[in-house]
Amino acid sequence: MKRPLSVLLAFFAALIMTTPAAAVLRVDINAGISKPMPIVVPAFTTPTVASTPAGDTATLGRQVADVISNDLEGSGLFKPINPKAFTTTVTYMDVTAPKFPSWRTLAAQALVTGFVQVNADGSITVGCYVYDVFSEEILAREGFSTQPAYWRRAAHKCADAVYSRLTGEGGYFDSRVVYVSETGSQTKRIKRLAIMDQDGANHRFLTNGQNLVLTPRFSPTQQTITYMSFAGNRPRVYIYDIGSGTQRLVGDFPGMSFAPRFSPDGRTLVFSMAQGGNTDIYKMSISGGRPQRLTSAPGIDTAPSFSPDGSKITFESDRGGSQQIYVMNADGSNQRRISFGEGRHGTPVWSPRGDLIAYTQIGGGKFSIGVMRPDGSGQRLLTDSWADEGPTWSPNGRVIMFFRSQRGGRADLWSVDLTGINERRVPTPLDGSDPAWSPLLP
Amino acid sequence: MTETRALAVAGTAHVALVLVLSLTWSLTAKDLPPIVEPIPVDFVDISDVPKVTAKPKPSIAAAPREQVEPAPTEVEPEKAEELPPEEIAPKDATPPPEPKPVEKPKPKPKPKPAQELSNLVDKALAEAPRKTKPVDFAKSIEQAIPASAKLDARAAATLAQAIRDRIYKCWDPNAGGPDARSIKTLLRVRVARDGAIIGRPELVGQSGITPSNAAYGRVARDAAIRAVMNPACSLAGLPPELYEGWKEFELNFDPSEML
Repeated sequence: MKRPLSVLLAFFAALIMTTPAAAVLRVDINAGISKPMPIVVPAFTTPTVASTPAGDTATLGRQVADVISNDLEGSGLFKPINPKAFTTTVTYMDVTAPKFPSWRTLAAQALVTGFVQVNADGSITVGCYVYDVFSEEILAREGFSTQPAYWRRAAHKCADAVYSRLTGEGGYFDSRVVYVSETGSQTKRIKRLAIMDQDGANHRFLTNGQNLVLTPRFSPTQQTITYMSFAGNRPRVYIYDIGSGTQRLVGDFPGMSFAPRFSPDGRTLVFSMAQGGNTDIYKMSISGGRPQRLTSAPGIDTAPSFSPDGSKITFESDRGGSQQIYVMNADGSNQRRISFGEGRHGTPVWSPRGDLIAYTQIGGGKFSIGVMRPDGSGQRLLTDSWADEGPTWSPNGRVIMFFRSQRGGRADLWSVDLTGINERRVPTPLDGSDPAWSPLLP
Repeated sequence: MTETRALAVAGTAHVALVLVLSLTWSLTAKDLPPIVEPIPVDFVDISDVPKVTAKPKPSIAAAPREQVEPAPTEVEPEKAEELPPEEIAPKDATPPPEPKPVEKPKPKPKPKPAQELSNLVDKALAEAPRKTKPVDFAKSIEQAIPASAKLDARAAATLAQAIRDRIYKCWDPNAGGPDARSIKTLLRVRVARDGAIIGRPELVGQSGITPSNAAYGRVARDAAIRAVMNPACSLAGLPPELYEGWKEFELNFDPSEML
């Protein structure tokens, strides 16, 4: 028993002795410059050009690169080099042995390259390679197979791999957004549920607009959406199955029910219900049963949102005289106010990382999006416009989507990152409000 | 004997593993699991049977899922856990006083209370510990540099500042945000006379990695290496007469003071 230890010690002693003593100059670098990383995403190549129902593989290769470029640029952390700025094309052999010198002349720091090929069963494989251009090191390599129609998902998955490897964060590009699409005049507003990819592609309406719909929310399993509808002139909570198109009422309560949201395991709904002049928060299994009442304070308790571990719920309440944010245990115990800043605070949403709560701040004639820690500290505003409200988190907890209203009544969807700097409009064919971000797709 | 054999077996196994890993470059693709495609419906009263207006989408045949071979991750050396907080060269470029031969200060008469203020200051200076400090400091620098380099403290400080001025513009310390602010990365860099980096900077160590920010360790290392390797921040043009001082040096990337 003694000998191995001594051998080990001798080994370390040798290690220390061979390491030169602090004989070299040491330079501290404690300042830097943060800017979007120049990255080059040339058109993906193909071993042989083959046709697929979604176009030939050479065209798909260009489109895949475009989608990846657009995703990365949208994050605000990358600056894709315009494909018009270079003539270098990528051959199939280049994918595993890139021509680094030509990418270095473009000042690109990272290279995303790959291929699209058709498999024997008609599916396609998108190969995705990430390189450090300076050190010529491969940083990530992944392949994704899918039906040709879903090539965009493979591109988003590749962009997520790049983002994740270069930032250390989880990705969020392969995800969807459900929201309320709006059109028509102020008095005759038609509101329809719509769903689209995170980048606005694959846009589809889910309802026909006969009934007003509000506050759609994704289930963690992605298969279902819960929302409030005025069908039959009664505002009530529904669950909608995306795959089958079926929808069902959640409990047939006498009063109005609204502001629903799923628990992190997808098995429970929390929502508000108005009864006898008082609005409280209830919890109920999605398979039915009796709702459990969580709050009983006089006033309006609404907008509940679970913490990602399911142990707590944040909500808004006017019990103290003005609309403020509260946190309680998931069983309704230990209710306490956490927002004490200026103005009123509403629509709290717990980040999927658990570290922050996003909210709408109301004050000074404006609505703004802000974040605070779950204990109410570190409150800061991310947007400054006339009416920004209804925050929803990206799956990685780094970006918030919300809707921005104009004075004329128009509204559209925007996203902002946690620095508050990278603010972007999310393209929708009509006006949009009440966005809800899905979890990352499988 | 058994230890030797065990070592030999382990060594052979490791070599074999490295060989296998380096040869399997071919890509294994991961099947994207089918996701539910949304189907628009007409809104109906809850008593009605929901009307499906499109047929369900065909599902992608579930193929066996292969795991993509994980990208090779480099094991960060455990040594050099804590980076020494102080640097050899002072932060500002003001040259330290020239080292003076250490001589014992002559005992001086104690200043009388009635003495003039200027005299008092002069005497105090002569006996302050500050006098010996730069001497030790300069000595330590001299010892740290090979004799041929003739790199005194002033030159070392100038050199450090010159290197810092080149590198910082290419260092993006933002990865990970506040969570990664405590991660310090120490690199050792070898440079040719023309300023070209020889090989790749070597990771000497990282400190400040906690369970909550561990994912950012590799990103911090990459960002530091990228700063050194970036041609826009080349080291060409450093004083050739001091080459012995900059042919090999260490860079300590510390984002803790960033806003």
